[in-house]
Amino acid sequence: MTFLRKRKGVSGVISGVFLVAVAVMIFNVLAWQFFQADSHNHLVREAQQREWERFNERLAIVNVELGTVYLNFTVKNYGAVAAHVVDLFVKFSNGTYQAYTFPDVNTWISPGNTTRIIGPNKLKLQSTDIYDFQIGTERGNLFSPGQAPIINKLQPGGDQKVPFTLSFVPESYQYISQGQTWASAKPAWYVVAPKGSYVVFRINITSTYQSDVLLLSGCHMLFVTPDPQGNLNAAYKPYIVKVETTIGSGNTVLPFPAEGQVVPAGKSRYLYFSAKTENGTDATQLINSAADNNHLNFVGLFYKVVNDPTQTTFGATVAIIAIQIKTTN
Amino acid sequence: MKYVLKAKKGISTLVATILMINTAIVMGAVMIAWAMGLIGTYQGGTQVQYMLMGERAQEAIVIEHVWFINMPPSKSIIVFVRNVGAREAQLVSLYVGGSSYAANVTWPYTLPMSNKVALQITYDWSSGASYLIVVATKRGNQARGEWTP
Repeated sequence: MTFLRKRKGVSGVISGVFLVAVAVMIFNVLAWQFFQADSHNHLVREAQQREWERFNERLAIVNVELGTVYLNFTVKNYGAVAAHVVDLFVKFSNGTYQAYTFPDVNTWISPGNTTRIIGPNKLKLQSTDIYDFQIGTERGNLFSPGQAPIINKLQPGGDQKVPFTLSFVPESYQYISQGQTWASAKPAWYVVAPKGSYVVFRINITSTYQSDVLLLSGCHMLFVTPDPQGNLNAAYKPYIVKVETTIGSGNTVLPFPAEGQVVPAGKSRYLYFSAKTENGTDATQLINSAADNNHLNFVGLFYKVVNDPTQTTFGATVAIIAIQIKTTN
Repeated sequence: MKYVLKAKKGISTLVATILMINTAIVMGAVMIAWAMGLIGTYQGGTQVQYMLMGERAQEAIVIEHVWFINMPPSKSIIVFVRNVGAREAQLVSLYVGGSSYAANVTWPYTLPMSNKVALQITYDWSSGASYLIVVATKRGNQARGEWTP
């Protein structure tokens, strides 16, 4: 009888086992459900993050260069995320469309940064082109320039650019003669020097390019004295020489470096002129028998724009300066 | 004799108890097996559901740009669609003004991640009118916008 009573206890164990099994099953189902929901929430959060980035991507096309062979514009990222420009849509006034995409268009712009974008080589503009364009980002946003349509031709009173500017302070234009250093340089608008003096001029120019500019050896000054008969009467033509050169022994100057001289984007730099010939070392000498003269001083600069895909050599007259040279005995 | 019968009564009670226990175990096992099958079916269905929802959340397209082309004698529309999601998108239809149009691609068109496609349709659009353009994917996502030539 005691044995039978013990058997009654076994049924309790069995029901307990089943209860535990059922509890484990329910727990497993709930845990599985939780992990599935968590995984899904993770994907949804990622999608929301992408959407947030898309809504917070903001670019502005702040400047479009005119009179260029390639589309050339400046973009500012004033949004909260880095932008990857991968699309370019161009619509011409004659009804033709052109679309370019990655890798022809491939520019990253960090938040707060401003970047110049030069269009793909395949897209060549004519001076007669009138067009509108948009840029697209990898997140699918589209941005247009403020002005439209864009007329590529340079127009009077419009946007013709001056590549270099000259300021008018005493330090802007200076000279030294033999035996002097640049610490004692004098303003060169009015030169008083002994006849036959050897001189070096320097002029401070500011580049208005947004890219660095490489000056070439052909840069020179030209001093002319036009007479009533219409003759220009070129008096001096000093070529560009090495930065901070002075008149050395044998009345020579340091030659212009073979690699050229770089003027950083938007910066001012002194250019030095003295050599009688291009890449030469003989310093310019004031004429022995020269009468006191007023000259018009042209500054001719030849240069390339760094990163210009066409590597075009440009030429510009920086300024016309009046200079009066008074030679003494 | 009386003792033996009494003893047999005791054995039948034991057998009955064993039978009851066995029956309970078998019934319990059957119930567990049934419940596990039910749970398995539920989990399978739910997993597919979550997978589809996850894929849909990862897929995203935008209409980047629309060109209204006028090349007489025909007019057409080019819709630039970009995949901005985290997986490929399967484009299945293009609607302009509520009607579906066959584009220059074969539906469904698989658009890889970060890629762009130009969908072109012949459409007699009118200058100044506004057109609702919708691009739909196989997973049920849409990119839509109103564009004016």
